[in-house]
Amino acid sequence: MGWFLNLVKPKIQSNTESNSPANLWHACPSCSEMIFAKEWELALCVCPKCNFHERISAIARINMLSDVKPKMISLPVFKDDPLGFKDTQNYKDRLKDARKKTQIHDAAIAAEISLDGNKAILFVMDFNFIGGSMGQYVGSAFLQSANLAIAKNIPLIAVTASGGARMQEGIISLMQMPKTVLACQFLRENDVPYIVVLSDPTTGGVIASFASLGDITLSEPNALIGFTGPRVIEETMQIKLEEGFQRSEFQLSHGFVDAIVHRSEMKKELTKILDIFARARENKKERRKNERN
Amino acid sequence: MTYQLGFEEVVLPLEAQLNNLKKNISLDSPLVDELTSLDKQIIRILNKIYANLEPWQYLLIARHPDRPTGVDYIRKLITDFVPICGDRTFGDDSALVCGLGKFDGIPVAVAGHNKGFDIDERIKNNFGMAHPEGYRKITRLFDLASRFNLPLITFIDTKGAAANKGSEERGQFYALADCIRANFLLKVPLLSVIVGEGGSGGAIALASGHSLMMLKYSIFAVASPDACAAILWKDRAFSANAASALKITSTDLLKMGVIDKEIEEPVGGAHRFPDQTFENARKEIKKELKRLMALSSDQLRMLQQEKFGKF
Ligand SMILES: [Zn+2]
Repeated sequence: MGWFLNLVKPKIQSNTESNSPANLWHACPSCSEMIFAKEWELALCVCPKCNFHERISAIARINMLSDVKPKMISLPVFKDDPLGFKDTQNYKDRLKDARKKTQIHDAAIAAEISLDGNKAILFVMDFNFIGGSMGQYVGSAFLQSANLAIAKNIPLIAVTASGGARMQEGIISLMQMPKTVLACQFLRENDVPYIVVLSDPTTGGVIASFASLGDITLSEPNALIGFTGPRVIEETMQIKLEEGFQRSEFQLSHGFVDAIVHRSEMKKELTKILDIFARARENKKERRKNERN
Repeated sequence: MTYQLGFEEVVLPLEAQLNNLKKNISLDSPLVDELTSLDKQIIRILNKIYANLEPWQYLLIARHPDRPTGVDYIRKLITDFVPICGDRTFGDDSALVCGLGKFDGIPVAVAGHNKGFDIDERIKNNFGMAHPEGYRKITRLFDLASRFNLPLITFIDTKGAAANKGSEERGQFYALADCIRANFLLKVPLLSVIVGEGGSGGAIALASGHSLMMLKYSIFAVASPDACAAILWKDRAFSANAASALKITSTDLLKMGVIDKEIEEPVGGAHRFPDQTFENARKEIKKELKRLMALSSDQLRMLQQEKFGKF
């Protein structure tokens, strides 16, 4: 189970030179409860006191959702900064910083995993990488993951975390919406199951494209899920939104999520789902064979 | 007071003078010469202004309240219009007008944004920003068009999808995603024309078809430059910078292969010369429709896969 480590933010891991209290303890960002860093990690970065689900890295996510060592998938790479974009900082520098901070190339990674013997392609987004925003790399990574799932005839699981479009890529980031929806359509036309796990937050162009189109949609507790963020709505409408607006529980009651699953239960839930689909697809093959005879 | 664009300032008093002159003139009046020279002078100045527009000025033209909006193109270019209303789930969205009709004698299905004519209509139509009902109505229209062999034309003019409490409660994100998916279920050609603002998800939901054209002085962007400036520069005062950086003009987007064609617009813009603009749009739509109607539904799908796969 060596690959299972690596859950807590690199910051905590890399400062192992001392046993200072700052490294031993982790303060829950929600209720401020002091928890042993080791205990926090074992709890998959969920507060045992208040159930707060801390945002985690894509690498940690992949490690916690597989029975075997995940097989990382190599994804298509593009020329950085297609527009030569500069706001308060050069986009190129922003990318450089994000890569250094997260140790990944862009806001999504993918791996082939196995749960109780059932294989799947797992596509995971990382909010720490420029807000998990979707540009050409992320859109293409999703398409590649979908194509691979189809080629191997195994389900696709997508764990989302994103503020929306990668604005620094301008219209190219907008074009990722139809591109990823097309990928979902490929899955559908090939009868390949597609399961979405929404994590905090999933908003904008990501929730308005592939993150909405799962055959089954799960969500972590209290994740922000919506097209327009609550702050923008409050500003433009000059209102105060009620507590919990657009959170997982809200989306469950409004009919946009199938179930809310605690992080510690997620692997079990996905295993269950994969098993149902796998057996159903076997039976389908059997039925086809019988029909032919 | 009528709405004025700051950079058109020089030409506005001359235009007022011209209109005044036109009202009080007979054909044999000696003032006809003055009228002609005034008209020439105005065109000269407009040529100069419009030859040097910055992207943020395109944005202002695209948002000009006198600029024809989507529904105006339906009124001008579509005959025998039959309205399609409601999403059969919650309500109708007047920000998006849908229907069947004929374009140049060809039976078609059409949709267009309606930003609204006066302030009351603008408020009613949420300034052309559609709610989930609007996108669900589009999904309905697309299905209808596919089943009965009606080529689709959409006229886009929206700042984006509605961004309020109600639209969130009723699942704006799913309505948008499902509407984009409806683009890929089409068995008939979908030809989209951005006639003013092509804003974000609210625009792409109606423009993921087989051909995308833009009027010269319209814009197409992932986020409105004001919103982009607020997010990336943390200050709306940087809207002009954002407008340049985002590459929102038809010229840039044509180069990038995002749009298939730029439709010429008279110098001075559609807000000044609507009839000439309608006519230009009619001609280009006719050509493009002819090209697309020759394709089978498989060929249409291949075209879409190539078009969107490449980004
Ligand atoms: Zn806590």
